[in-house]
Amino acid sequence: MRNPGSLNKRQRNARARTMLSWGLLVFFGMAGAFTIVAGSISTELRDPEYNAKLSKLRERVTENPDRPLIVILGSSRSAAGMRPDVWQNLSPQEPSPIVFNFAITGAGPRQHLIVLRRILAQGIRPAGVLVEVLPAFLYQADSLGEEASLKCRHMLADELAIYGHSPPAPPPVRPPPVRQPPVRRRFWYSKWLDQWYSSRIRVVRHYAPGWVAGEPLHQERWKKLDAWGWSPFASGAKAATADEYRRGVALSRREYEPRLAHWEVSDVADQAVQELLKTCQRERMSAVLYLMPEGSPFRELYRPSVRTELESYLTRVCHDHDATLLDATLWNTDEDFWDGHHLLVDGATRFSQRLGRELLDPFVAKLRRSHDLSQRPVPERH
Amino acid sequence: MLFCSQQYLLFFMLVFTAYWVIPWQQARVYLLLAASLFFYASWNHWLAAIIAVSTTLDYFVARAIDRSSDERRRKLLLSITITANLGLLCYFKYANFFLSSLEQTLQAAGATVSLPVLSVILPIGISFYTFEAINYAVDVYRRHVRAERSLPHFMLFITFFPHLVAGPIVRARDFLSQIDRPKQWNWLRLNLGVQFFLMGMFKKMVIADRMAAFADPVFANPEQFRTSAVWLAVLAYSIQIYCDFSGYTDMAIGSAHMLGYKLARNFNMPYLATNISDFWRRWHISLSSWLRDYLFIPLGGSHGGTWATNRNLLITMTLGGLWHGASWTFVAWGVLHGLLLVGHRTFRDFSANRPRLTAALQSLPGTLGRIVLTYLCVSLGWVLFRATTFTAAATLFKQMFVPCEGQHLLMSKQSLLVLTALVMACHLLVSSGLWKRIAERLPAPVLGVGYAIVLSLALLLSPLAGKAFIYFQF
Repeated sequence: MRNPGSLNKRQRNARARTMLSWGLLVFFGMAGAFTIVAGSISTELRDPEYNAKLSKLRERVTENPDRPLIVILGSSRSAAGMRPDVWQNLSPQEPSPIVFNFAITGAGPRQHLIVLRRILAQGIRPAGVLVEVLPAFLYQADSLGEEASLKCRHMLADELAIYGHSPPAPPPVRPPPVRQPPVRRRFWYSKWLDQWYSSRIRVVRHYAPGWVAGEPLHQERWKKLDAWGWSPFASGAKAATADEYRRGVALSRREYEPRLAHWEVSDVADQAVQELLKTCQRERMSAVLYLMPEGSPFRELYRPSVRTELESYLTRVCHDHDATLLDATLWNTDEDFWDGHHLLVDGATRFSQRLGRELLDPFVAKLRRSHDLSQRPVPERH
Repeated sequence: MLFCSQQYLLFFMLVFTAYWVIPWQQARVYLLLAASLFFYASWNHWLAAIIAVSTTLDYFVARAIDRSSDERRRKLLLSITITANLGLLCYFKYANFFLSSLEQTLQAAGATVSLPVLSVILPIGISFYTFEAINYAVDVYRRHVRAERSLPHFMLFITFFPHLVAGPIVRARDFLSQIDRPKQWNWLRLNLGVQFFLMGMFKKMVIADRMAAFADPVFANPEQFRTSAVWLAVLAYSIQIYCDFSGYTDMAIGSAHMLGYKLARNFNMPYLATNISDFWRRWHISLSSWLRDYLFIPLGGSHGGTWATNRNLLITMTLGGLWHGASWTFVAWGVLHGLLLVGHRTFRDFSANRPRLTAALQSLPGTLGRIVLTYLCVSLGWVLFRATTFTAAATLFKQMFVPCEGQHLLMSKQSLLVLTALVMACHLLVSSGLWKRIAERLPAPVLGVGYAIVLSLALLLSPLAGKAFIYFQF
């Protein structure tokens, strides 16, 4: 190699050009390779929350081959509020079902559908499915609703179709907290440009954990999953201080007020709910739609007509698809919440105990009538 | 819009592309000016209006100074522009500080007064562009440069986005001539810019932000931590502030190079300084040279005997401390550095006539000892710089010097030690000239792969929550 000092200007220019070209080529090559690995091969890197829950679910199913399975599909409200551990062995009759909390942070009907399809594709077929209805996520206009919290890097390209065409949103009463570009653009951006950066904490935590100690885990509550898929909210705090509660409620208001200002059931959300219930019927899975408890500050965000419209809509779809409807909106008091809609540990325990009595016992009885529960509900692999 | 944010990268790519696509030099100037105002307005629209108005005023006053041959009129105009610039700086940055200090003094004297608190926001980078405007006016007054004839050129000198918010403080004679010079696409220049930018990005995202994660909890609650943890936190902060500020400067210099402009060097491995004077020749060079040229020398410099020189040093460093922020801790930091400079001058004079002492200091162990001592002095100074109150600083010093039990650092020390070793190794590699020789002999593709690795590591190892640059607050 000649010393660059002895090169003429043209040669030094060529050397600089070569350096930059190689740098770009290798950087994008590495980013592309990572995208392929993370996007297609490693579900742990692509969608860690889903992957963590799937691993736990597989363990429970393997440990309990003879017990039927009930899966909960919901948002962070259910992830923190539904404690399947209090329901294990709830039925005196054998075989008692296992209930698993597969709620995903920020999920609405479209993500519920994606999760259900993924579970079925993994060869796991539940006997029953409890599906949370988060009213705000039934309004799926533009970047409001479910899409605002969607992490596109978690998705596969063929799942993008579910997010195909959201109608434009009317001008919001207050600007939404996060203005997001359309989901398709975000999807391809996250896959090809941002994957390396947005996955960095997980990669480093996996390969060099000493370098990430102390990183906040508030977005990764699923790291604290129990055996049945439940994870406590606010790091398992027993109660919120007055200041924490006030700030939590303010944050919830900021996040949900624009979504509820023009609330209606969007076509895309309705299609997802209908498709999910149709899938349940097709796969002979009994379904329950339920509304999680909400504190009074959160309930104040709804216009008076919303409750009526919501009840009417849910009653209709449940009737059309032979599903059960449960409205638990008023089951907990304000002290049970961190921020007006996420239950704290004690609130979650109380709610789950009541849910076990009022929903699960009758639901299991219904399952027994419609299925032969002595057989393990894990059919063919897709 | 931080330099290491996606918004800045997108913004810069657009500006860069448009800049090199446009063939006309004057149009490029307008493009850069518009981009710079947009960049500044991304923080606050009104502040962009303030900088535009103050720059226009500076332009016309400097033109008047240049045209005039009446010395009294020229002095008057210079006073107007300096007063206007310092007035803006004082109003936005120091008004509340002075009011609260006055209130506390009056209350301590027994008066029952309650002075108002002004509702102002600090325009980002005001300390930097005020100093640039002042050095321009003074240079025009001294007839070191001619007043710029073109208002857009002058505005670009002040607002050029790479240096606008945190320096380096540019001089008119260095920058204005570059605006006039036609720019040719140049791979070498682009390569140099990319090198600077990547280096700065790595320093900021990987080292500085990570060091902040070590230092911040300790500086927030020092009484909870054991002595060793506090010392490590001070070490972490000394690396953080260096990598944060020099990282910003590298990205600024890199961005400017990619657009065909050269900004002044601001750092030269300051922690290898062998004494405090040497430190100030290596740290924030554009500020220390500004203070020298526009404050220390006009005060009389070192021409008035020992006492006068020491007085000038103390005044210069005290005001330099105050420049950093409206707080008495910054003033104390400046005074401390002034005293260290005075102490160093005294010791230098003392050892000048002692050849054995001089030889011992110049030997390898002596040089290493001086480097360590200088680093220790500077790091202790950073405690004052970082602490928000004297009480907090006193608590930190107590925890450092009175052995006590308490928490360990909240994070694993692994990355702190590895990155400290990396910073030291880089200092040694570059200062010995070894890196230059290696880089010259490495094949271009290998260096290109190195770029990709540095960029990937910068993205991979940056903490979840990036922090704003420390010097943005000044």
